[in-house]
Amino acid sequence: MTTYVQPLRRYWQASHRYRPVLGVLLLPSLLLIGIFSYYPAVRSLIGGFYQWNGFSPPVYDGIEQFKQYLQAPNFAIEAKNIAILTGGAILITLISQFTAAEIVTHMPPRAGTIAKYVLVLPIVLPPLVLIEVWAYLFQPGSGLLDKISGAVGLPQPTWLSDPHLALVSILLIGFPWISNLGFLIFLGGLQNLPKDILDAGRLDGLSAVRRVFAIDIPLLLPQFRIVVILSGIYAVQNFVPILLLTNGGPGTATLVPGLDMYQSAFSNDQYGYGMAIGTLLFVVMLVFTLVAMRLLRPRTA
Amino acid sequence: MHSRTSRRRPGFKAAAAAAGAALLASAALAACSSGGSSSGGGSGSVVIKAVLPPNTGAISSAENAGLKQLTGQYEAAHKNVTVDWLPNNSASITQTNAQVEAQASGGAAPDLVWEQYGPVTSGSIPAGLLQNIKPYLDKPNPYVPGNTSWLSLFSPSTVPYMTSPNGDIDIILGSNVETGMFYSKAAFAKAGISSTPTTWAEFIADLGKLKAAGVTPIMFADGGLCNPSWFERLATSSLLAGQVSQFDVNHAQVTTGLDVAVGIHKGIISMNNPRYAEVWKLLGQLASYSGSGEASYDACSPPTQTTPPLTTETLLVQGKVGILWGGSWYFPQLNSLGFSGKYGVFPEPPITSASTPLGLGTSTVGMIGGPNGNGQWGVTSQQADSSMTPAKTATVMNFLAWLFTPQHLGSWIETNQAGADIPTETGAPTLNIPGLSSLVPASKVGTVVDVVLDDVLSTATTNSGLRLVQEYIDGQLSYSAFASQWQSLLTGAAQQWATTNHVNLSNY
Repeated sequence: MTTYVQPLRRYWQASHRYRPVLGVLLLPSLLLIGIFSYYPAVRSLIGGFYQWNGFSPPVYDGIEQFKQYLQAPNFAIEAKNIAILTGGAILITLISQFTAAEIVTHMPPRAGTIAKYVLVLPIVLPPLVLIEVWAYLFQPGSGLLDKISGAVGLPQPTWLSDPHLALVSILLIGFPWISNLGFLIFLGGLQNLPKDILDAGRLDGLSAVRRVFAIDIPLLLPQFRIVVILSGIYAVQNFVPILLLTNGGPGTATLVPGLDMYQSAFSNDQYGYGMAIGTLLFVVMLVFTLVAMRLLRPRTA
Repeated sequence: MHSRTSRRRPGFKAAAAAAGAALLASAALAACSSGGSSSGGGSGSVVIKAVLPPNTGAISSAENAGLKQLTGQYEAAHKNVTVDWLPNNSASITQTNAQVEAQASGGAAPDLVWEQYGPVTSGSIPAGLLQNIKPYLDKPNPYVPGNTSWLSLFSPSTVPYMTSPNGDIDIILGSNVETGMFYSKAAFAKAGISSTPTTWAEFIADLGKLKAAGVTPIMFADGGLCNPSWFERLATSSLLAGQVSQFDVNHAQVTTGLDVAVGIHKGIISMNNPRYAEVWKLLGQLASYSGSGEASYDACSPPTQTTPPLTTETLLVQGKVGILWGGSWYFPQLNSLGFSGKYGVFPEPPITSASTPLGLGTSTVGMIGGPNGNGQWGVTSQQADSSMTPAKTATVMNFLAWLFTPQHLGSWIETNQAGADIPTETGAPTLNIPGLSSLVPASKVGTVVDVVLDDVLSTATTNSGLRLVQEYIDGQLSYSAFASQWQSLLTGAAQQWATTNHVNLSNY
């Protein structure tokens, strides 16, 4: 017993001796994060309660701007659009990335390694380049998608300017949606599943599909939880493809709260209103995260 | 009018032509200078800080070759004057004005600032920031032999745009950007159209002929503000021409926020006014001939644009559409492809009673475009620019007079814009393109009525308005649903404008 306690005590004493030094070393990072991340966020939370056009002194407006957004004619449309985009993004992320991770895990080792690199490499592509590529693919008449449609005798839709197709087109960006962090998270999880449980399943004669649902998914719930939360937050935050490809249109077909927030602040000079939308988005994402954490918590029993 | 601030680079030929013209002109400059024409600078040296046209790079760039040459000639003849050209990377006039106002608050604004007539004549530029240059314009231009006044060199349609409601002139305008209907001659031949339409009714009939011939008649691009805001300006100015005096409070060339708010308050700019409602019924009629995918295009996008909204110009070049509503910035590219053989252009036809019983037949030539091209400058006051003494003002105006002889103006505008902009002075050389001159008004145009789609009331209103127009055009909104939402937008925007600007609309 003593043999274990002595080193632990020494470690504990050593870590306490160095604690002030570690704190000092962390200070610059904490300071910079405070200035560049926390201060703007807190300032934004406060700013929602003020009318501010970016130039004149802010005027306190209580919760009026929050009410104004919730009562705006576009609020329901934006809520519907973001729900479709977030739900769709989570679904396609889970299905495509988990499926790809399963396939790569069960490939022969050399082929699996090659496949892993091939699938992961496109992560280095800057998002703006990806959007430019898809802008070309979607181009009416001359884009690749329309050319393929035309070649096989199908109608050539106007992907981004048809109000019934525009939102789906935004979801299509990044197809087949594998080259992402979620794939690596699932892959890491699958490669570290307890071997004894997998062997037990094999001895019980579980088919591959049964194994996925009976063993893999239940044991990977922590990974599913983090992927759902990250992809959900990303879908809500990432309005850049919409800004660049449709600007929320045609009409309000692809209008989402993030874009409304951005345009209110930086186009309409309604900074306070934009911050109010940002605060509401923060609250929604917080609730979403808490619900996801609760629903997808591992059942160890 | 959404003027285009992004500019294309012309070829070296144009630069060489301008340089040659400037060399020839140097003799005239030397003559004027030696003849005792005042530089206004007195005996001390004067440095003029002047802002270049937007997005043209430094004074050494090819686009500014003509301007550089003329400046060099002027400096050579006025040894005490140096012109320091400052690059202008503004994305918009709003951004520019914010910057100028910030500089002016510290008395550090440049001497010659890039401006646009809208903010100047509507009063959104703070009073006292720019000088009234009318006294100089009323005198002869010292570099133009025999002229009675510098102002008389400008085309009659330009002067009202330079003039503020109080009669002052705080801005000088060098060139027009005009809009018009560009058409494919092949498409017209296929549809059996032998002459260009002279009324809106004929125009709509021609769209029908193109459709019947299997040609996509027009692309009414609503991915950006250009086509929608042009239509609003065209139809509203035309159909409300008889009622504009009831809400034209500021008496400016283009309606201001106050005018529009008063018009809405009085119920003239209202969907309940049959004349105003007719504007949007006519849009519905026009849009029914448009090709699909309108929201993917904008008539003002540059040809190099790769993300939507794309330029409509390529649709005409590729033969995918019969008519495009475009602007004079199409000329450089279309001209390089053999304009007169393949394409033509005609001005927007007037809306007459043949289209609607409410049509007044008002000419709208030049109403949509206007002097929004290159060479728009204001001279700052001593309050905004502490170095601006009366003597320096005289020097700055003398330098402007040199740049604004018709020959010089035509030369450097062409170098800078390759024909996309049309000089505002009579007798200035312009590109010889068939139909080009028909786009420029011969006389003063009527009051231009902007309402929603041109940032008159607020940018937020404009953005919301564009979304409604897109939904109306692509069929998501019926006319009655559009009318209801548009009316709400109008009343809400007018109230918001009045609150923001502390104006009681009941006083009007």
